Amino acid sequence: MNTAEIIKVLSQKQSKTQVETRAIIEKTIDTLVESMVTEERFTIPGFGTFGARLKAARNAFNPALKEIVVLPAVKTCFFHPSSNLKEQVKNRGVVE
Amino acid sequence: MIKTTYTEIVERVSLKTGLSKQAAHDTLKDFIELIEVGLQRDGHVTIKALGSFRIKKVAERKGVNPRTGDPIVIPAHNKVVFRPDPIIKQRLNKGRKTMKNNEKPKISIVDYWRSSRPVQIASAVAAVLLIVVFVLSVFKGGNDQIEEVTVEKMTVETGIVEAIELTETEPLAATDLPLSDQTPIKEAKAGEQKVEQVTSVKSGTTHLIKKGENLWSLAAKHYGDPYLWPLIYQANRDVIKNPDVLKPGASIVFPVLDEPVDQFTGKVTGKDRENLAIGNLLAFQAYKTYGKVDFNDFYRVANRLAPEIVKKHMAEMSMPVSELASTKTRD
Repeated sequence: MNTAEIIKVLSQKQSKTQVETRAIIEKTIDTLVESMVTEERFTIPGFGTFGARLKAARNAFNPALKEIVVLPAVKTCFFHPSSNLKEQVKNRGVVE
Repeated sequence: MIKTTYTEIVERVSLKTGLSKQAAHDTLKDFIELIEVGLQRDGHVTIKALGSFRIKKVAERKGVNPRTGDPIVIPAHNKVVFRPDPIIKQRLNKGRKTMKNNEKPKISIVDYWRSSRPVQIASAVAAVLLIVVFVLSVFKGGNDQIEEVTVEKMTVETGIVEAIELTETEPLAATDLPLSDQTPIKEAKAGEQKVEQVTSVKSGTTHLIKKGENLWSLAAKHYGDPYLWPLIYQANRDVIKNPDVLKPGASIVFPVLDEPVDQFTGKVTGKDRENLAIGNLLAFQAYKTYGKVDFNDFYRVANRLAPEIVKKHMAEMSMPVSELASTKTRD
């Protein structure tokens, strides 16, 4: 599934044109990304929490070149699924 | 880290899209629902500019019930994994030097080791420097230490020189080496340099190195314990430079064990233990200069075997570190 399909289904559900829903969805995604970029932590109930964290600089060893390289600090973002989502996904595809 | 409430997010969405708060909430809710449906149906959902959500399998594993402490089996299941779009990472790290747009800063292996083991710096460097001072003095063939030594020990010294010279022309015969009528160990205890001198050469069988041989296998064959290879390395320090590299055609000596191996623990005792410690220290130094990663292990082994010897070596460092790399045995 990708964004296009989501837009299609949503436009049908909300009885709007695809162009409209595409604009809405893109702006929604924008706000979520903006919040992540400003390093806020936010939760969408039933889905999960998005956030950003700083990973400290560290030394790493390259066994091929046998050199030690200093990796700089880096900011990444994460997503923790909520328990609801975890339950849904837990046994997907398992044949009982 | 700032916590933003869901209502705040909905407000922002409604502001941006022009929808009412209720409509914004409904849209967001439906959007998320569709992601969940997509996850269930396909196992992955890719949202442009946000990232991808995927389902990954987690294998069964053993765990412990935190309340009772009983072992428990955590069954195999799935988990949700989120991979953010690279644009997000770029925006988060705007202006920060990353690995791609910056030259990789390199630090030497020694500095890496130093940063992780600050306590052992002085001791290890000390041990290494002392060994070098010592080994160089031995093979330079003339020193204050030798003058103090009795005539018998003198023959040991010259014995070493002779043995080395012979190896260049023809393989050594066992009779050419100084015999084991060396001065007793107690005399040598006057200074640790003497200890290394006197016991660094012992009579023993010679061996011509063939292709594909290494110290580990030779020690296993000759002594039955491959971990005793530093003994061979120590006895043949002049011939073998890098303990990992044995030149075919060179001739090495298997030193005779001073005392038999302890029948209960199977470990070497007494002088042999000290020699083994010295051998490990030499290996530690050699591996450091040759850039092997786990050179520190040999220092640790030496310390465990004979900490008094390592301590003695620590006490006498005065040589600068730059001279450590020298593998010249004689001038």
